Amino acid sequence: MSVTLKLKQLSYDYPNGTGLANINLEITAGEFVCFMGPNGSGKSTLFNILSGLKVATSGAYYFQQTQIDASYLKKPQQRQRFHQQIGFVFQNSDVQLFNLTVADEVAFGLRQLPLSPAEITQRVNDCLELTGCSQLRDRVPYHLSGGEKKRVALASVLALNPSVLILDEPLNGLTPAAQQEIRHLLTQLQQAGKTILIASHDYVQIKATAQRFIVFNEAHQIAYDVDQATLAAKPELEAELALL
Amino acid sequence: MSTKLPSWLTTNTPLPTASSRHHFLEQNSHRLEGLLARFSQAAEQAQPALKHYLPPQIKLLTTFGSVLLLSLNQNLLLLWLILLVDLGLLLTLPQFYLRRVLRQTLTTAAMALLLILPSLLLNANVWLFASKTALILLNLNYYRTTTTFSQVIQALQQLHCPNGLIFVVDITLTYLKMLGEFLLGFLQAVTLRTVGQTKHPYRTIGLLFGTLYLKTRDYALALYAAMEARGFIGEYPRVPRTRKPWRDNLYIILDLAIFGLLFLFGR
Ligand SMILES: Nc1ncnc2c1ncn2[C@@H]1O[C@H](COP(=O)(O)OP(=O)(O)OP(=O)(O)O)[C@@H](O)[C@H]1O
Ligand SMILES: [Mg+2]
Repeated sequence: MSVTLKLKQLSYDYPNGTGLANINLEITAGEFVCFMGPNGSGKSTLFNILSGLKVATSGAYYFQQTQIDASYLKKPQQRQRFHQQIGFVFQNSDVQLFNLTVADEVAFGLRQLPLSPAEITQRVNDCLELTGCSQLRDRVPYHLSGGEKKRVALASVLALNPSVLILDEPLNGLTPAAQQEIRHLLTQLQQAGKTILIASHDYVQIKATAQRFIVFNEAHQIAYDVDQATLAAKPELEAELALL
Repeated sequence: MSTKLPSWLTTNTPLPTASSRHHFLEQNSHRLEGLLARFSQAAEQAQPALKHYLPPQIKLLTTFGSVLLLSLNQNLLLLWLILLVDLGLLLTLPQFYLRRVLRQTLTTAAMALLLILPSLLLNANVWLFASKTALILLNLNYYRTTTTFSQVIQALQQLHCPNGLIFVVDITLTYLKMLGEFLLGFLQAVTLRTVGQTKHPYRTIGLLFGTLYLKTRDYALALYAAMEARGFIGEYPRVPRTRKPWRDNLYIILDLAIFGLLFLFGR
């Protein structure tokens, strides 16, 4: 399998402190990776960089062998192609929804692609059904509940068929049944060849689904990078992760 | 919930992106993003602290006073005096602030100079006007750089402004920050899902601002409820005055002296 995402000595500084410190990381196409760590350890910052919203202060980020930096993202066509391939569901789905109906929300990106109206309707319906939002179709996203917003945000990102799906705490605020459904959907997507990166604070909930765990420490560095099998053999490490 | 993925979702090749004519929203969103990012950061933590300094209310008054003097007066001596006082103030600034004030004054003054360039070439008298403008900019930049939002509020309290006014300023500042952060989030969300040509870029802007309006309304209500829940009854407690009155008084005397000189020579 080919390496999809690669970070080399990557750091990111906010004006008032460190966001990420010296991250080295390789992620292969088709992996299901879970990022964990204390509050403020840099998970969301990393996702912002991977999705092209922020550019690293130092170090390099490669997506499919292409370096993603400010000059790459400046060219509209390159940037649009990049955004189509990397989908990102925000930690705060409140700011991700801005259309008048849920169906419009999901169709927003699709309307910019060379697709026929019938294909767009088809994709919208499929995504709403996959995320369990079919009955919300004509509702105003602004007035949805927190959990409903999370699912609509996922549907609108999924519609663009990204090959890498980044989800910042997607299961927060969902009922256990809804969490189960989303985890099942993510597993299916992985089996279809998508790369899935998620941030989570709930190890127990995600341990059977994700196959690799990358854990940040308070110094904004990677403390552990272990796979599911290794973890299962180390109960003391599992106990530590359960507290994050 | 269906158990099978639709076939379009199982391919991994991206669709061709049409070359778009309207980069308007994206370009501006990038610019606005930079601006908002600068504004919405907690600027108060980002800088070395300015301790043992002029109390905010005196700084507010003197800045206001010198700007007023500068704009109403034609006396060259007065300009020199104000410049002298300003330079004295600048000397006591830590390097970080000094650099900032100077950089901002230079850039804004250069802009202003560009605007009045034609009249400069025609009329030598404009030099006085130009130097006055530069001095005003220096004063304003000094104030802006060395004062945080909470100090502005503090100054208003010390000057015995009515609580209503302080409340309005306070809420406005909180709001601006909050609005900036929301707008930034929205713009990022739009950027992420801009994968081709937007047919109605202006419609998207309308949607953004509509949502933003709803947000602010809800936020205002929630904010007031939260303040009430914590016992806010519409009064701001006054911060105790500084413990070094001699320095404040010296500064006030200096200011009064300049005002006096204005009346002696300014006629
Ligand atoms: N916009 C910002 N401006 C300044 N500092 C920020 C900003 N966003 C995050 N930070 C800081 O960067 C660090 C990393 O934050 P980040 O949001 O990436 O953490 P996180 O791992 O996602 O935390 P959480 O689990 O709470 O979501 C924190 O110290 C945080 O305070
Ligand atoms: Mg986070």
